[in-house]
Amino acid sequence: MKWLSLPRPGRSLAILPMAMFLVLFFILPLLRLCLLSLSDPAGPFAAYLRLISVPAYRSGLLATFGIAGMVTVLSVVVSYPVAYLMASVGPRLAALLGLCVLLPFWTSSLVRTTAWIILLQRYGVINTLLLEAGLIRTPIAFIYNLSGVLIGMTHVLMPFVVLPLYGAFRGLDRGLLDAAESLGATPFTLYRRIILPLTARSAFAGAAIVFMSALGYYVTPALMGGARETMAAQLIAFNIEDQLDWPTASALSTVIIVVSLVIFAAAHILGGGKSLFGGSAPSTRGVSGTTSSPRRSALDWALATSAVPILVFLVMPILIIAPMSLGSSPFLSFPPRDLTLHWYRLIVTQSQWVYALWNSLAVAAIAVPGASLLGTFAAIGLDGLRGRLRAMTEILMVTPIITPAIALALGLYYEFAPLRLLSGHWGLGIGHIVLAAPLVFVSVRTSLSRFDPTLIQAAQALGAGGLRIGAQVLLPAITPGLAAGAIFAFITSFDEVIMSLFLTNVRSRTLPRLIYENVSEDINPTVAAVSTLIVFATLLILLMHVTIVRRRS
Amino acid sequence: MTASTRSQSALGQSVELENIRKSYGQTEVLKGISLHVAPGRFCTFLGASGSGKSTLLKILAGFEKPDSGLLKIGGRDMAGVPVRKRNIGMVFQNYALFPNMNVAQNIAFGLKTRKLDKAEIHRRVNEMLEMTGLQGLGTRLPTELSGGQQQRVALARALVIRPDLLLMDEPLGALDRAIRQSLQGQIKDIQRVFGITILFVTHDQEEALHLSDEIVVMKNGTIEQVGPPRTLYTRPASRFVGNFLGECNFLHLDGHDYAVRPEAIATGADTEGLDIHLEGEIRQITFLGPSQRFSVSVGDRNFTVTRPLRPNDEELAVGTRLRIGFRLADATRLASG
Ligand SMILES: Nc1ncnc2c1ncn2[C@@H]1O[C@H](COP(=O)(O)OP(=O)(O)O)[C@@H](O)[C@H]1O
Ligand SMILES: [Mg+2]
Repeated sequence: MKWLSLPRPGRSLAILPMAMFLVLFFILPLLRLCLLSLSDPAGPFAAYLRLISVPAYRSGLLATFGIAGMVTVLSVVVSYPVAYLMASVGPRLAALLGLCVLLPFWTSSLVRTTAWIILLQRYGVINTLLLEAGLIRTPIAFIYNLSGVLIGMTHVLMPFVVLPLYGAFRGLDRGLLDAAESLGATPFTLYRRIILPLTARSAFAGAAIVFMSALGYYVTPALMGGARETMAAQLIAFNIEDQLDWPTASALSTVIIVVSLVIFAAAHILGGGKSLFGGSAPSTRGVSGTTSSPRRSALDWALATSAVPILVFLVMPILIIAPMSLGSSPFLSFPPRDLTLHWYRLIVTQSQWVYALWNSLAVAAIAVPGASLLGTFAAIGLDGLRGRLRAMTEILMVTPIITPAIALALGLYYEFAPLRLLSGHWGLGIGHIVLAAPLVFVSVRTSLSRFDPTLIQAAQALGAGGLRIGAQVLLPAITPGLAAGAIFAFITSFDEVIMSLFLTNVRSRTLPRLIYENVSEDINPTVAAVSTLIVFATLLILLMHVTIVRRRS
Repeated sequence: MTASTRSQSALGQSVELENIRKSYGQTEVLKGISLHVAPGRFCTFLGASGSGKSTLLKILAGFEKPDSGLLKIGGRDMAGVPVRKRNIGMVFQNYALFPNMNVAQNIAFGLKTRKLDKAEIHRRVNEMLEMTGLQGLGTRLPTELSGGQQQRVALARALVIRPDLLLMDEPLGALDRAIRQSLQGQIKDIQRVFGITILFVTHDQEEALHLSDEIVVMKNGTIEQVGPPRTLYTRPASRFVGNFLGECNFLHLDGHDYAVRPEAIATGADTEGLDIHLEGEIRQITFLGPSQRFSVSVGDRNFTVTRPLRPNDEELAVGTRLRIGFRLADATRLASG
């Protein structure tokens, strides 16, 4: 801890552990993939030429960009009403609406996909209801086609737009709107000239995150899409698992990494040099002007009303899963009949679920402390840097968040398989540290940005050494950020599927991987029961997180 | 303030600076500062923002190293002595109270680092709470205190360790005028009781004049003038000092530059028998309360004159002619233009 009392350049040494970790387990594996993509026996660019010339790859890449684009547009469109409504109601209702957005946001994307399948399958909840109401004669094909992919992915990704947009709406100065109205602006002009431009930047930042995430999506298109919605990540997995064609898989990975980086850079530059992850999450602190106003135009009403079905869309899958897990029918028929806890008993008696849970917890036990340590030290060390070097370091530290996980999974698989790291927990644990350390870094850095550095000088002047300053001055200041970051790290690790598919085997497979395997074969009530338990666990963790955030402000 | 709780034992140490220089990159922030402060003195650094006051204080505390020069506290060379070994009390402009500790814990912090036993810490914290008028607030968190109270906690925390030297960087800058004045009184009292050496930074000339035994006027990293407040005010060595402390008139007589304070200039009949007489036209009159300020143009020059307001005085109007004059002994000859 001596570095704490060191002058700035010395303090920056604290960045080194995370930086070295990322170089070793993030940059080098990805560079290796890049090189692999050029190592095709048919010539250095043969793999890339194949992406263009072979119709399956060409259409796969087109589908990837097309679906990512559609999901992005959909997310922005449906986020506006929700964010508007959240910002314009009173604090209690806003908190409740916030929960409607945050609960799905925090719930395992696999659980959500499972719930959507239960809702939308051929004789699922929705089709049953529509048939019984006599509105349709034959079931509608909601899933295993484009609509399934769009519904599933929009549901998973739209909170990334809602949250920053909500912050922007809360930050809107009511006085500006009053001023515009007094100058004769119609409601429509108000939206077009003032509200949209002032919130566009936040919407854009959210949209960039959605697009980058969508590019590497695997679970939803694999489980809810049809053959025509095969996306890049599935092609990559197919090339490795079935074809052992490393050059093509690497070329595909390189393409989506590069596109992600380009979008990240563009968003960074358009955002005025502010990192997408630079700002804090939308706060619940008091704001000067909200858009709540006694006079509402018809346009306001329309926007607020249209938020209601979207909110239902957000929470419905979370709410449906618990009742469905209690029905005795093995086919998950609706409505659930002969309520039973049979499926929950099965979870405990079928040892695979218990093992998978144990594996997940073991991996989290590596990932959470590892990510917390690396991320925290790096956030502290960042203070020691200035100018360009600081900006570059900051970007390096958050790049794993925007890198498609499938590419990273592939890179680590290539490195770890020969080292026999896949049968234990370390391989996946390391992978999850790469994913989660940036989250802790961002969270602790947010705490630190509110930390007054003269406190360290005050402690020094009072005779405190580095150890005492670290324990009594610095640690209390970053504890909320650290705790929030650690919770985020846990959720990330506990929810992660793609790396688990590559970096574990049948013995070391985690809970998400087991759910995935179950759902991709045939959806069954046991999965619904497991999903229900995960939803409740998420709710608990979310409440913990909210308490911490409250305490922080 | 209970002055009896402590004897007049002089805790204070002397401070010697010799040719201290400091640059950040290309810009030289301190350009050879030399100064001697006797034990127990209240010495104020006064200067515009950016003149290097904080940097000098940071060097004294040990947060920054001088590029060259010598710094002695109590006759001991401080080169290589880390901050925490210097036994210096420091009060920061934003108070820098530890937000996670209550008032008593904040004050006790420096005693714990000195590994005093519990009973002694308790005794000294309570004594200090009483001296600074913070009785009963020991368990409050800093966020639950007013600005003035926070300031007193910061002061108590710095003093309880019985420092050789108390450094204060614009400690009252963030407070209201009334609270500022009452705290100025408290700080002065404490200094008398403790006999401590205080180095105080401010950009507020009035504050400097009220508090100091000695004022160091700084300009662009150099010392412009050092002296007791009265000397500095009545005998500014340069135009800069004359302008920085209050208002000043400058004029050229017999090949020399002189500075005259507005209140040293008499008007009308009061000018009888003075060395210098001038006549001009009143351009502007400002009512200040206890006095009036006239702006008088004499030829192409402007003079500022203040005159105590006597109820019976004839009321003058803008545009009337006015005789002004002063004694040569009340003017200060400046070293150079
Ligand atoms: N850490 C630093 N790095 C670079 N320049 C600095 C630093 N600290 C102070 N300066 C510069 O040194 C000059 C003097 O600053 P300072 O000592 O804070 O002045 P004052 O306290 O009199 O306002 C200013 O021009 C300031 O910009
Ligand atoms: Mg300063």
